Order: sequence, then C-alpha cells, then structure tokens
Amino acid sequence: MNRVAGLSGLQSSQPDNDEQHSASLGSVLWLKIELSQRLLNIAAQQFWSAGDIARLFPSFLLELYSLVSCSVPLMSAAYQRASELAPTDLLAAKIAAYLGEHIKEEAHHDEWLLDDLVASGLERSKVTNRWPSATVASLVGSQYCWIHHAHPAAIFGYLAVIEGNPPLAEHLDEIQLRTGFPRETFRCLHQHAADDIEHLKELRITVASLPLSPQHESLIATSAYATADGLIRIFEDMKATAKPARS
Amino acid sequence: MTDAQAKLKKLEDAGILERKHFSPEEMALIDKIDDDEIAVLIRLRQKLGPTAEGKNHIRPNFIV
Repeated sequence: MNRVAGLSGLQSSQPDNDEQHSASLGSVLWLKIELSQRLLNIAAQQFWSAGDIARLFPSFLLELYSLVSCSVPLMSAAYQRASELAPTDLLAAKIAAYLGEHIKEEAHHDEWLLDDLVASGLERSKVTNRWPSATVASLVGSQYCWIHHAHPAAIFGYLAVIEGNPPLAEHLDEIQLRTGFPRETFRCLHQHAADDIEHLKELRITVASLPLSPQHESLIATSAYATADGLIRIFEDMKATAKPARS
Repeated sequence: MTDAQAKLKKLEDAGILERKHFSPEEMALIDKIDDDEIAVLIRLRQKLGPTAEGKNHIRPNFIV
C-alpha cells in the first residue's frame, strides 16, 4: 500500500484548518482501526481455540514480554520526537502531552510480566536473555521508522490496535482453567483487564481531538493495518514454533 | 449498487464484518475508506483462513 507517500509534508502547519478537518474524519479513522482490531480478534480466536493451549500459553507470555518490553522505549522515542517538533507543530505538541502521561501509566509492566513468567515456571534469566523475534522487531521497528521519518502520530495506530482488545477477566479465568497455570501467571493480564478499557477511552478521546490532516490520518491507518498484520504473524509464529509447556 | 454498498459487500464477503454489527452511520463511513485500504484489509483477512469456532472477540490479545 502506498498511502503514506510524500511524507515530508506531514508536520501540521495549519492547526485551525486541521482541527476543523479532524472533526469530520476522526470517526472514519476509528472505523479503520476497528476493522483492523476485528482481524486481530479473528487471529486471537483461532489461537485461543487451539486444543493444545497449555503448550502454547508460555509462548504467548514470552512474545508478550518481548512486545511489552519494547513498548515504553517505543513510546519514549515517539514522545522525544514529538517534543522536538512541538514548537512548530501543534499535533506533535498534543502527542507529546498524551504520551508523557501514558508512558507513566505503562511503566514497569514488563517487570510485572516477568514476575508472571517466573510464576509459570520459566527461569527469569532465560526470559530476560531472550531477544525479540524477527516478527516483533519488524512490528516495533516499523513504528520507529514512521516516528523518525514520517510523524510520531503513527504510534496512535499501534496503540489503538493493541489497546483496543484488552483482556477480559472471565476469559483469563477460562484460560487459566484450560492451561492449568497458577493465578500468579495472570496478574499482569488481569491488571490490564482492569485498566485498559479506560486507556482505550482516553486514547479515543485524544485521537478525536487531534488536529489531523488527511495525510496524518492515512499514516495512523497504515500503522494500524501494519500493527494488526504484525500481531497476526506473531500468533501464527507461536502456533508454528511453540515448544512443550512443561517438561 | 452504490460504491458504499459495493465496499460493504466486499468486506462482508471477505468475512471482515457483518452488517448487523454496524450502525447506518458506520455503514456510510465505509464509503470513505479507499479502495486500496479495502484491498489491504481483505488481503489480511485471506491470510487468516476460516474463523475458528468459539466465542466472538475472545481475548486476551496483546497489551502495551
């Protein structure tokens, strides 16, 4: 898809006109994000419906740890780039304000998840010494590319797709029952079940309020499609390569 | 068939959405999605194959 060609003009230079434009396009953008989320949900449904989910679950936690470990550094990079642009770019200033708060909300979640992985029976050092897979690197790396070579607004496509499908407590309970892993393995996921619906509301309100040009909207949509694609590939990779859950 | 109806049919035929889950306002918005974006969504859906039996919108997905 070549929807983000000509990215050099992405910095918003006419905030008043952009704000008017945003009101009419915001819901179209969110519809595109929701369609991306639907695709991801189909992949998740296929994954969690697998008969050997106890074997797959540790792989899910490991891939999740890889992704979560990358999240705050990624948001920090977007925050830094947005802050650099902010003096002459109203959109970037609003992005920096949002990320400044959101980074605090998401800080240390990788440490929680690491504790949960240890509770599942994995050795702490084996988790921390494991590097992100090519698929995770591709997913996260594309965001760095857009942040530095397009506009940090791209990260909203990434965040909206990932945070758009928070875990539900009843599904976590069901998965715990099916996998036989202890409740301590699910602490981070349960915390997100409690927090992420509010995070999604905040994100949606923020995106709706942004002075987005059509080009920024296109970038965010492209980022959302790429994020869905990357996460779907992670689900596929796990099914293809998962090792036995416990020896 | 209008452009909007044609796009909606493509997305529905591909198994990406069901009309009953979308309000008339959301249906109208589908017309504003470019053809190349519709194609991207359909390609992604085709890679997934048939949907597994089970609960709709089952979680957990990934988190930040």
